[in-house]
Amino acid sequence: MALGERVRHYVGVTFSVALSLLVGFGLSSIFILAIGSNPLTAYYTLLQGAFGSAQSISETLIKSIPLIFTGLAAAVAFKSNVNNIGEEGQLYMGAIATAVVALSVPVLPAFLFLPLLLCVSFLAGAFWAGIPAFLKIRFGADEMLTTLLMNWIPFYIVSYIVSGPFQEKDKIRPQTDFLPDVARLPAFVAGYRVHLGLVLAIVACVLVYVFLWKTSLGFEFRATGANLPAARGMGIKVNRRMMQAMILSGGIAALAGLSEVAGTVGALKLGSSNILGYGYAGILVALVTNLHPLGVILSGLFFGILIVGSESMQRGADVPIAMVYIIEAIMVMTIITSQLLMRKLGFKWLTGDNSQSS
Amino acid sequence: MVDWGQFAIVVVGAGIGIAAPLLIAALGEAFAERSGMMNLSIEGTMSLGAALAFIFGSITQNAWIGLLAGMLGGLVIGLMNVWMAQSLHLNQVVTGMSLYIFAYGLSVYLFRAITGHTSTFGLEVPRFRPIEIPALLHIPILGPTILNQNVLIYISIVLVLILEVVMFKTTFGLKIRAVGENPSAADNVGINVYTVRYICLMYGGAMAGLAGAYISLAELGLFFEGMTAGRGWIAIAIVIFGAWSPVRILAGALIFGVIDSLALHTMVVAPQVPFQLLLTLPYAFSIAILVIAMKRAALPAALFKTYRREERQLG
Amino acid sequence: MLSRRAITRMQSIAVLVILIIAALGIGGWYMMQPGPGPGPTTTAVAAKKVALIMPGSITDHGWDQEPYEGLMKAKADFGLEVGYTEEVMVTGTPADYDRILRDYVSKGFGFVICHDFLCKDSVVAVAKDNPKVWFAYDGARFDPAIPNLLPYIPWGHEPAYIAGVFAALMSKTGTVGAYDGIPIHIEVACVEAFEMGAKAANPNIKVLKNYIGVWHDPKKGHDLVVSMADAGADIVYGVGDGINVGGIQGAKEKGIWFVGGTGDQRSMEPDTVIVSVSWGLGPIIYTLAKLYSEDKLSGTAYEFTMHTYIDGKQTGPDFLPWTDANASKVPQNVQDAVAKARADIMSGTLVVPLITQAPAT
Repeated sequence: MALGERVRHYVGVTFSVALSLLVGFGLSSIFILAIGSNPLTAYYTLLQGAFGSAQSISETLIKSIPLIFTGLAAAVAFKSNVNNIGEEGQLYMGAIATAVVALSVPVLPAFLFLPLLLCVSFLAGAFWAGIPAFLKIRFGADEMLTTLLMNWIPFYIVSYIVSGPFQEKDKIRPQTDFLPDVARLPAFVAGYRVHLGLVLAIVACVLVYVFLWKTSLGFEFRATGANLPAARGMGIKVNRRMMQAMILSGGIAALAGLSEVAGTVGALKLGSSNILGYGYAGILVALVTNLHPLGVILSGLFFGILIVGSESMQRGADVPIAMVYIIEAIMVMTIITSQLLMRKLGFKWLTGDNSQSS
Repeated sequence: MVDWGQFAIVVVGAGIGIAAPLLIAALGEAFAERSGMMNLSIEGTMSLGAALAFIFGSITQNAWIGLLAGMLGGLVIGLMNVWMAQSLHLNQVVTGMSLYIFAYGLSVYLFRAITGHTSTFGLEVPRFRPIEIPALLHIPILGPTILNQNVLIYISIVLVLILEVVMFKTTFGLKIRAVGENPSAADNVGINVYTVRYICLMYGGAMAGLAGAYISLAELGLFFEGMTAGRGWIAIAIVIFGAWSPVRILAGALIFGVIDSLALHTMVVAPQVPFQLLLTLPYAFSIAILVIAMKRAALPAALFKTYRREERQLG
Repeated sequence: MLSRRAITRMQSIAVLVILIIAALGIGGWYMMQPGPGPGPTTTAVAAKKVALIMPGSITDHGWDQEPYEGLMKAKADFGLEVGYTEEVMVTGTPADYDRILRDYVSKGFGFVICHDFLCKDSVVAVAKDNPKVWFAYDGARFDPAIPNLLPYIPWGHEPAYIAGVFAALMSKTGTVGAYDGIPIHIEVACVEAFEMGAKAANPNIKVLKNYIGVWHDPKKGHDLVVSMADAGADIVYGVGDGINVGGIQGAKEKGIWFVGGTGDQRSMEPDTVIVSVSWGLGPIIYTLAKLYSEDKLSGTAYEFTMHTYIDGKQTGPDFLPWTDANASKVPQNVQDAVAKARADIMSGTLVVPLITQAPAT
């Protein structure tokens, strides 16, 4: 695109997004007003909570890391015509593998330990996604169903591990011991918690982008996703590609688990009844940005801001917990409306494939 | 020693109770998906249905009005979903999932706004109790345990038969399937894709709301935040498992319900088995059964494709 | 006739325009109001601020609701300023505790209570960074190196033992049951104590013990209690929140009795829940807030058991017996046995073992 067009394009994108967010604020205000709180205080608190201080920014980034990973995982899968909604389970498997290996293996120097954990967790997620992939190719089992059902199982595995064989030495809490320091993803700004996982996530996105657009294998993945019959007609081994995409997707989702256990938390703790786990949120992250690997970075950040910010409204603005869900939902709905708006106004969302399906 | 016959009957009886809300929600979702629209908001809609049913049921002291309120709430969510996904051409996975969060948040919001933080145990709500049909009760063994269910379960079974007929033997059912397979072709032969999808999703939403109302009015007689506990997602799995056919969905729901019930009952009589293992049984089994027994389910070809702006071609 | 596409486009734009105008209108109206400036609220000089952070919902009839109510009562009684954050584990993960703790510190709170077992590492980190702020969390061991960090813990094994005695003697079928979410220490302590009490009262009693993996799913609790009833239990002890709420309904359906857990659940279904084992979470949080308001918090672990007396009043876990309305349902020998068990425990004659690891079966 010529420079002028590019500028118009990005201005258009920004305008549409801003407009949609404004509409979202307006709609959410109705609910806030109805219970007698002040919407402006609420939004101010949201923004404060997300970027009001260096601490907040660090926390927002931390929240975004697993979202970027699972968003990337979903993007890879859906882009290749594979409906992987098992990122939640794959994430847990990555977390389990990280904790189990880090606590069982004799302490290694950091430059060996981290790559080891990276491999192990990736493999765990790839394996967990590989089962549905295999079932699909061999038996025609719908992968949406199998990946969904398989999400519940790792939760119980975690439950067993943290209250049984790997429970912490004190035997009090449903969590494992903390990982040895060399196994931890180091924080890169002293005093704040934001850690190497962020770099890994961004690097992963770039790698996937390069893979999908600059390699022939990646092209085949995209072709399989764009038009399955045509791809088959071109001689692409679509079944194999879909299986590979699924496995790759599972591995990437598992890295979200790695970053949580080895980075943010430092141990494997019992999960709970999360309304929107990182795995499911990742699907939203990917779709909001039309499955673009680089867009996932921005989208993950957006969700991080939204989640951290809206959660802090409870404290700063007298807003009840229910509003956290309502605002999150409304803001997601309005931000995808921005895509609609941009289409109507003639802009495209990102310079990626737009003829996408999944 | 355990009387296996008695054990089996008891497991199945409880399994039916577990299956009922799954069945109801899945029956609605089946229609939505057959018309080509994925409705991922079920879990939240069920929660909303449960909340509204409890609130209105206790205000009016009439269980049927509560039920209706739950269905209406669900219908509205379904309407919002189809409007955003169809008329605005937004991605249906995103609309579905954000409506899931929205509906869940709304259920908490309304529940607390109306009841405060107090327990629902202060509020009496009329329930759907098991109906005693003398003729059925007298059937030996099965009578008092399995054939002793509340009216909604009987209605659901009848509904399964009605819907099976609608789906496969009526013109409307044909239209739904046509729209699900190829919306442009359907439009070319004069089927109004919008109308079909609107009806299917509003119906799907209403059924999800009904399923939630079932949980709060028939199963437990209370509302508790998060009480749906993932059942909406299981309903989605059952729809896929049942290949969008009401009768097969009934089978799927029963299988899941009975296995879940089996896991709990086994846990009680055999505590040496790690409980986490037993709790994963329904999921593992469903996967296994899917693989062994079901042939490749034919997805409605247009499922997920709405955001490809099919309707542009309908100009 | 306009094309369908054009109509849809116009519809959508019209809707958007209306919403934007509405949003701007509301925003503008608010801008014109003289409102409190957003930011940390300035407080009167000596107002003390207590915050309570909870993993679950304040309507959960148990782990979170009781402390919340205790906090609100303390607010009313001592004129404290309070803040609370709920559903941390529902909207997020244990990693969020760090952020929330620091948020309260930055808002000038002098005492922040984190009511979860999984938050220890977060509270330790924040407490070390803020030595002038008091912190409390669910734990058992006080570390003198962090004098502003107060662990507190409710040990409910003694009342659970009494409940076991009661259940074994009340049971006509010879089978009783106990269930909980996940076998971690305070939960295990209660379930095991229940069994010990039951076996002490009747060595032939059969005790069903089960864990169902979750604390907040009423239907699962209901189904488990029904299963236990099917297996012959006629009185079941539940140690959870949502699973109790549902379990009580299951017990009612099956016509068996229920021993409440976590708090006083007798009023939920007076004919079904005839006794309750309470952890006294409400009074515990109330007490901590009270101590703070009187500047009496000290660096120690606060263990609450049946023997804990604050200001002469028994505070903490307790066995809540049958109400007068239900007294007629409890035979005299049972009442006596319960009274004796209680007396023996309080006098120290009977020491109930504290078992915190589920025994391998």
